[in-house]
Amino acid sequence: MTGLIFNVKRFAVHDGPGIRTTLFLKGCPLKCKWCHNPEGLSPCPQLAYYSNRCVQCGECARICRSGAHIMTIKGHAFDFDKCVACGNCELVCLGETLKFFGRQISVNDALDLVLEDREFYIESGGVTLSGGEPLLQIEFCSELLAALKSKGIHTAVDTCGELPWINFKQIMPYTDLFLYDIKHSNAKKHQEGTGVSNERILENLYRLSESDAAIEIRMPLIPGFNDDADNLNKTGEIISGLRGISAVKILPYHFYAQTKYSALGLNRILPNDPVPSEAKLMATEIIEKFGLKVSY
Amino acid sequence: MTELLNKEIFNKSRETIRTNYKEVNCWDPEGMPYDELRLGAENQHQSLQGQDKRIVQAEIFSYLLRNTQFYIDKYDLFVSKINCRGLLNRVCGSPYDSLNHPQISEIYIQEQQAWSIGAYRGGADYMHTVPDWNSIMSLGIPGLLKRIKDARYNLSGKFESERVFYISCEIVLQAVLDLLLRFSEQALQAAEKSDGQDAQRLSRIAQCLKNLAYNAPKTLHEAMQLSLLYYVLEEHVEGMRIRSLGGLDRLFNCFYCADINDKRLSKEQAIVLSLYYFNHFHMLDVIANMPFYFGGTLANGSCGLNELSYLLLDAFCELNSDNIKVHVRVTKDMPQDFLRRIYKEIRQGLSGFVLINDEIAMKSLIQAGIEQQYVHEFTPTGCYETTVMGEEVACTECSAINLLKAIELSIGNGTDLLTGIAFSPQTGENFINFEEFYNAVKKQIAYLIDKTLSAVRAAETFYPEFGIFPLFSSTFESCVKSGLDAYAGGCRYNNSGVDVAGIGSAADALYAIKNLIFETGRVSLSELREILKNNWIEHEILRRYALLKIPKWGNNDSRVDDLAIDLAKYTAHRINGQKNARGGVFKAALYSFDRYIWFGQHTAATPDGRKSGEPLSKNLCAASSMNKNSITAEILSVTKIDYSDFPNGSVLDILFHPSAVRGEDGVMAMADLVRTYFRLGGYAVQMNVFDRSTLVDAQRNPEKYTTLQIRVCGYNEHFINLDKALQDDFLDKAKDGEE
Repeated sequence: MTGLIFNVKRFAVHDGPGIRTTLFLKGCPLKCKWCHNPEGLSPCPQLAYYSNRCVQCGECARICRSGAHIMTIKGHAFDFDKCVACGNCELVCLGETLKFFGRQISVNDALDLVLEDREFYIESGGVTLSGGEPLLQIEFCSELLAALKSKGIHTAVDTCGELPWINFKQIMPYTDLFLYDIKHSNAKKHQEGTGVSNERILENLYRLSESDAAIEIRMPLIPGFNDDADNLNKTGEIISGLRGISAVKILPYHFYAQTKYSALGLNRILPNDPVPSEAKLMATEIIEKFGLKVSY
Repeated sequence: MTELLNKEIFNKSRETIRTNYKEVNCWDPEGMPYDELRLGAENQHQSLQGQDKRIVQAEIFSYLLRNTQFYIDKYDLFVSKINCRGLLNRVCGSPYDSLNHPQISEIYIQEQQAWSIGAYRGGADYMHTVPDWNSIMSLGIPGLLKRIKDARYNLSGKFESERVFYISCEIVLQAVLDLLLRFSEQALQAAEKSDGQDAQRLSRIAQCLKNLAYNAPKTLHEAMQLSLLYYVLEEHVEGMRIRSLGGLDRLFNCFYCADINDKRLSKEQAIVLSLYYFNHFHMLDVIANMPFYFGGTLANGSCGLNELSYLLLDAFCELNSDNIKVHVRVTKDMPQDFLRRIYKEIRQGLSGFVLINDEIAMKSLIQAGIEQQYVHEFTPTGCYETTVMGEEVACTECSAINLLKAIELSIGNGTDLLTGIAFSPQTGENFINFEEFYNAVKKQIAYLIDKTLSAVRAAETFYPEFGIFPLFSSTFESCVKSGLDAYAGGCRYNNSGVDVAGIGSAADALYAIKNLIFETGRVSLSELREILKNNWIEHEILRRYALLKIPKWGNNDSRVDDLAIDLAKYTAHRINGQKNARGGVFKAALYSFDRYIWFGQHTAATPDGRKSGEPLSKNLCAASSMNKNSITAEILSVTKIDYSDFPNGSVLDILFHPSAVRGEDGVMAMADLVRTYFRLGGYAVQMNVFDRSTLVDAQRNPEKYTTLQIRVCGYNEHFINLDKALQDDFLDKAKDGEE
């Protein structure tokens, strides 16, 4: 059993309690306009090219078999269309210019990877699966989570919720905490912002809650999309009707992902306006009116 | 005095107190101006010629105290401003003059050359010591004097040298008592001329000083005044640099409790009193900040943290001075709320804390030969060095070696690659395998250590003649018993520190050689030697390969880490237990201090891809930007080394991005990280929280960042006041955007 991952973050401290290692799995059913992990969207491996870091060493052109990298008189040129995403060029790149997203990893290797920091989990931490949407790779997740659980490691799953209920059912016995996104309370607006409706997402959330799962709600705060009082009130209502909510986190939109879009050859320009602190305050106030404690 | 101890009053008068203190012409009418005093002391010195040097120095000390100007501020509650700084050394000579002695001049010419090529330094150190604060607090100046007198009366027969020692101590202690009375008298006169709260404060000061002239301290006010005055007398008069005020919570606790029991003081008032006390250390011109410590194991095995610890911490944080720094001796049972408070302060920019693993520090000292019964008085000294207070004169900063230079010299067969100087023994030009090369490296390390230790020993042979510190010595029971100055071997333990710099860079360079020459055969040693001499010019591809593709220290990669462990063990064993020249032993430390810049500037390009002149790895850290796998991997690497081998201390620097430690999660993460680090055997840790853009902006617009503090190397400094090289090093290490 293998999984397709695009990143590992150690000393992750905002993905559940304590010091954690977060494993990012590739592929997502949503296409959020503000996505800050665009390298996790596609279920296929991808190469990112940070052209400004290139030192013109030519190592990639020497190893590339598909002709995606060539050295011209003007220097290194990269053709996204020719790239077959083998990942070999990343290994030889001497400029930290090429970054390969999407390596296959076995459950055992993944286990070794996330257990390297097990000494740090003893206090209060553990392992989080994130993405993309990790539960698209349900068999891999399920095996990995079960193995972690059997070693007494705290497990968390960061999910968008847009999945068949059976996926949740399968991992529930091995999952200590769900980090569950609510992006919009309104189905139509949700569809506009993420490409899918929120119906199944909310239904899964209710069912998780009724199954006594521990849930942390996460709300990305996207200016002009979901930061209006009406949506925040409705979201507050939804959350306050749930049980097993351990925390509510507001994640203010940021612009840092822009360089990743460009490096992946994606022509998306993210708006460069940070969330004003008043908007954060207002959102917090509204949600806390429902008796919930908000953190960031 | 309870109505005087009011935070509002302190806050209102703080700036006035500071202005008066810094004003060079602000003195009470008593005493002689500085230049006049100097002339007087010089005349006095003339007239004493022919007498024992110790007596002469004591008499000059006494002359200075009897005639110095001082200042008592009616807005203040403590006094510490006297006007004779450095005069004793100017008139009687500095203890460092010994280094010019013809007998050792040859060693020092060599030592200076070694320093100029960034190989090692070794010499005298009168700058990093801790007096016996316990005896100062329990006996007071009158008690110290009585103890000396008793010892002299009990001398029988011919112990002329001991008698001279006792008399010199008596002269200086009597001079301190006279100064206390002169101060007190002046304060009383000033009180009579004032009214209201000014008069009340002045008469409190007068009473406090008078009590200290006749008794041991009995109140927190008196204890703090004595601590402060003793410090100033050492630093400004006797010429000794005191590098810790001791464990203030354990030292002051009995006075605080007495005040509380007798209803002289409330908790809130104790904080205000501490603000006035710390404010003096803020005003004093202290090099590399004034340290004290919290917590630590007590004689009975429990944690020294008490109610007063929290109040002192409040005062320290509130004053927010970058002139004071704090060591925390973290015990397993130390309350977490105390540590959480510290993590929050660090996150907000008050980074003057070093957290030290008490268990491992004490273990390392026992291994260095300190007896179990004394080790709980371990006092972090200066940056993160160690002294067992009351029993040890630990010259913690007398020497340092650059491990990376040993590798450069092995590559150069004893020749320094940057300067071409044939510096050390020829250890071979061609090697059949890595083990042979590594043996050459060990020989070079051994050579650097031997040279360093000889330089220290040479300086130490002159300690008895040049290091005359009766005020300091009189605090040690063992000096009183032996009749010897603390610097003449009067103390129980007389150890010397050797700092070992660049462990990360050295392991990286060694592994790069293994990889480039013996594993992949990319280059030969002679080719590499030329490439490094030419600073990688025309070999940028090879350099980037070495830098980015060969594993580095700090990533939990056993290929490199195993070399670091072995290098550390080898070096420690060559140093520890070697005899110094004053009856003690050498104690190894594994840190670079800020010398990682200087040593780097004078080290040629190295096989790990480092360019000539670039800094070494700092303290225990990975080389700059080389910790690719997060702080957890770095900690896993760092804790593979056995720190009981480094009794003179060690430290890891952690630079957090603000986003990584935001919110309650962030504080928890800092706490968990440090706990895990200590559980795994880590020694000490210091932390900064910054993003790169803040530092870039501070470099461009210093006027906007006048209060931005940064933890440099065991001391804090305003970022804008740092050398450009140090600023740039922080810029290299800091990250941008979201972590």
